[in-house]
Amino acid sequence: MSKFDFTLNGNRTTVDAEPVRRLAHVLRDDLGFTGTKIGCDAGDCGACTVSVDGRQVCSCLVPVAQADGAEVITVEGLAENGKLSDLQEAFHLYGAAQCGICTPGMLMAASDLLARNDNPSEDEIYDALGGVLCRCTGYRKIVQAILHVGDTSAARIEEPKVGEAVGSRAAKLDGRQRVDGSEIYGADKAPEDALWLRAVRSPYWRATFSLGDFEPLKEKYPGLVDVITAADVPGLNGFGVYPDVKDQPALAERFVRFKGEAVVAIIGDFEAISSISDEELPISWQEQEPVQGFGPPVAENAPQLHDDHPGNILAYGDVLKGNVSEGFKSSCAVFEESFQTGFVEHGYIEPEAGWAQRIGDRIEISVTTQSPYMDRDEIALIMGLEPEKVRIIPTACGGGFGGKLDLSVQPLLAIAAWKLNRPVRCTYNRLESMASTTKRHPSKITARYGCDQDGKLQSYDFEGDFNTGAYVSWGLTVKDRVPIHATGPYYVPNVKARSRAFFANETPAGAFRGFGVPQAAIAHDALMDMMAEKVGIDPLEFRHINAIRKGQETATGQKLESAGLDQCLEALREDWGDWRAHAEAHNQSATNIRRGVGVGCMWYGCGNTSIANPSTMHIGIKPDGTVTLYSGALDIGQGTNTTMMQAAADGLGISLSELQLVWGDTDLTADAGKSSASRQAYVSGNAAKLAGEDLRGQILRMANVGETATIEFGKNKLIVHDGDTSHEINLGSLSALDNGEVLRGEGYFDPPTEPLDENGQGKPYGTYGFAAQIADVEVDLDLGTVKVVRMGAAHDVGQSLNPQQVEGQIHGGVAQGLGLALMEEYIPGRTENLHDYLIPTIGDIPEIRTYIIEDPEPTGPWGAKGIGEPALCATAPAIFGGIYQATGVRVKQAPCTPDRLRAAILAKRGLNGNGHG
Amino acid sequence: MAKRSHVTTTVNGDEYEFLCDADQTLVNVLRDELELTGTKEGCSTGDCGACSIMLDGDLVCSCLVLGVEADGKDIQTIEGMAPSADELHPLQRNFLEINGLQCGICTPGILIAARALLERNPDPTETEIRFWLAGNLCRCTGYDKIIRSVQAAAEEMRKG
Ligand code: FES
Ligand code: FES
Ligand code: FES
Ligand code: FES
Repeated sequence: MSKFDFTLNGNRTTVDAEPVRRLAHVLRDDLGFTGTKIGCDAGDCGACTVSVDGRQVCSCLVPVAQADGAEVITVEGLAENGKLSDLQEAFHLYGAAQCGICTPGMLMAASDLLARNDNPSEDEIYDALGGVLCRCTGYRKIVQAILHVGDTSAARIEEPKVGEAVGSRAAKLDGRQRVDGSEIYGADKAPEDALWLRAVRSPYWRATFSLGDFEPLKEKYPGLVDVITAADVPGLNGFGVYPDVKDQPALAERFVRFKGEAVVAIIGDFEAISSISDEELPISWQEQEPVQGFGPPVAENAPQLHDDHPGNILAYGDVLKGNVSEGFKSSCAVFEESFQTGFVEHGYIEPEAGWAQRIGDRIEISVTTQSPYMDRDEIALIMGLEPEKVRIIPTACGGGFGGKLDLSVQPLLAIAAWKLNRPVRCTYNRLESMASTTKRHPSKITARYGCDQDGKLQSYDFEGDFNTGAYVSWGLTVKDRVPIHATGPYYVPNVKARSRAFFANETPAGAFRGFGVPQAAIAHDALMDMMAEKVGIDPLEFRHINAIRKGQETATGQKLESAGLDQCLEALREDWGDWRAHAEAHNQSATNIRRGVGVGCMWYGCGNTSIANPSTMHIGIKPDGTVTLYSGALDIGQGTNTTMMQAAADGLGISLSELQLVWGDTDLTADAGKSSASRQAYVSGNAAKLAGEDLRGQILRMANVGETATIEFGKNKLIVHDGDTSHEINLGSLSALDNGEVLRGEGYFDPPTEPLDENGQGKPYGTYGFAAQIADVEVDLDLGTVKVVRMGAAHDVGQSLNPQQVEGQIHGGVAQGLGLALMEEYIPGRTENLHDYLIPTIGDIPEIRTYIIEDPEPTGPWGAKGIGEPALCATAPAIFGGIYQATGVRVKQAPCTPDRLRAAILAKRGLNGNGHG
Repeated sequence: MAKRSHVTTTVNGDEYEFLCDADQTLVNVLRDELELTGTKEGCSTGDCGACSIMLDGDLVCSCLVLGVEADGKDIQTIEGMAPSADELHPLQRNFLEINGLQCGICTPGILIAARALLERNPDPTETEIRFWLAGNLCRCTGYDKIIRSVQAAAEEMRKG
């Protein structure tokens, strides 16, 4: 240990530390400055960016000894006397922070830039912020914020009047803490005396194992307090997202099904658990040949992963409508193609983290999650406790995108804290986060589409294989969603769609923004382009002709009541025409840099498929007049805390600033369901609205006045104004409910769905979101590289609850869609970090023109539908359409990496892949 | 002026103590402070593998490790590879006999990496050898004779 002195945010600071201890850890763990985040601990993500002597550095790479004598500034040093700096204010008001986990690093990188250059160009911003990754925002609003420091008028943020919150650009209510470094995420806080836990994971894809005696290890490492194994699981050693499927063990027993599966967990002081190497543990392994990829798991006599799933088949999903062979007979353009996609990683910048403590006969877990109630119920089973004995207190969530729906640290923490009766904490490192948590399902699709000579779609025949990896996770949802959405958002009279999900010794595939729909979209929209070309209709017009419209029936026989795809396409028509013409003109004279513009369309059923997925919200009033919304709908960066407040405020008739929020905690809020499936705006938005209306109704009845009355929320009292008369309600005189409140409104909404019959006919979702996107791309024919130059994105959201948040979702979805299209492929066992697994950086995301289309959904709150998933699904098809115009190559495999595209370009010229000849 | 740190390590079985700056790399310390110049520095950025050494049993690029990180650790470099002054390690002998080296600048790194492989896997396939040595660049040999040398040494070592 040595002593190091430096100035931290202007204050002299001295620390005792090993010279090589990294500055990020010194700041966070030794000095309590947790505003600086650690996303990778390896110099890849930039979340840890701080300023050292005026230069931005990754503090996870800087030994504290190098900071000796230096001036260090962290995000906590940007605000002065509690007043946000102009840069922070701009980030807040331009919506540059969604989940906020990258924000401290972004702010520090931007400060570094602005100190050198107070009027940077967009390109200079890309350069300066190129080392900081954001997975939520698509970077566009970050760029806007930096361009507008000191002038926030262009953000058009409003403070809405009473009754006008819905639809306004209200700033994120929890935005300030996301730009000043004070927001608390999973890894940021735990009791002083908390022990650390580290999971020890299988190094093999398929193996049996036995455990030896752990006592010698404990003797060797006095700091090692305990080792937990499957034998320590008090209840059921299994978890899974469906109530009746609990196939993944919290800790493996005797055998493992994928590399990265947790086998035991070691608990002790941080030093001890991090210095014990996996090889030192008494685990003897018998490795077996794994079954992986698309063929082997479903081959005859393949070793079986799960006894109850012969042939490694999880399930089939079918949708059958009309008669496809008749449909093809009446078609004049018919195309059949096969398509393939790989695993895709969520890449949230915050790895899984949390802590747990036992309080008597209850267990409490603070954790980063998308689904507190689901966590609660799953932990109850694992712990053998009543659900009420489990409390989930979500921390802020640094990005989820589906990856934080399944359990990760929760069961390990609960088991350890319960057994040891001490608080226990755990933060996954980037490698184990990527190796052990779910991915997007790899897919192999063969599909056939036919249309008549007028371009009207006649028939669609689809077969898709989806690799769900070692465990079920969300595999059943994917197999259901895919055939329902297989045709794309078009009216097709004859449809046969079949999906199959199978197991393999690979990383489990689960929920990732779209549940299989993005994979299916790549297939249907490539075929749409091929048919359009054959019948000589412009690709956008071809989609417009076929866009499913209000009153038409989907492949499952559901009659749509809100369907704005035609309007989305109309919004893009002008840019489409200009951009296509520009690309064509460019290509006339171009040499090897070609341009192309493509269009993609999507639809997405909001909410869970054909099952109840209700949301319940409450609003209460305390005797002193405090009005609080209790929302269990988790804000994972998408802005739900703000939009739920907007819905509740307008339901009740109160101003946003007078309404308080309590969110997430399962002891304090009701079950609002999970933040997934683009359901919160639609489902919980309704619940919040209804809770407000219920409370308003109660108050109006107390005052015995009519519907048009308004309520004034005062201290200790309510004043109800009805025309010229006023009624005062003295809150103190009302009898208190058991939580101390005197009035409480409840809202409950469950989307109207019906089960699907054996032909997949029924009403799987209450409503659908629609989108069309266009992409203008530049392709280097020599290198096979693709640069997206600009994008247009038109989204039918029914009614936008908050346009600022909707735009943010669109930008972020486009960025993830661009990653899926061009660069992202998770190779299990090989790309378990953020330098081998590439996600788009700030320089990859072009200008995105957004168009918000509002075709109201009758069952939605003010007509609203979801936007989370729709934002992503149309991007890859649009980019691939652009690549076709530029090169004549039809992309059939995502990602379309430079090597693949270059090989395809050469193959098209009749050359082999080595570029000669 | 930042402080220099005092570091104690074992190199090839001998104890060493040295002072180094917080940003001084281990390859730098080995070569400049300890005068063990067998370890080469080809790029200083982790690309070429010339600086490969063993640090507490792990094969690392010593240009990516800080000198202070070696505190309390066990280091093995090319200088410790031959069992004695007049006897070479089988890998070294086979590299000489089969011409697994030309200019020799990459050789210390490759030998250290190859030994790490054979300790883990005494009977590697050619593909395994190529994968394992992929972090070590050689500009002279075209690698073929390097592979043959490693295979021959492996066979010899297996026979004991
Ligand atoms: S945490 Fe430092 S770069 Fe990712
Ligand atoms: S806001 Fe950037 S990662 Fe979430
Ligand atoms: S000098 Fe270390 S890898 Fe090249
Ligand atoms: S022998 Fe010269 S670089 Fe390898």
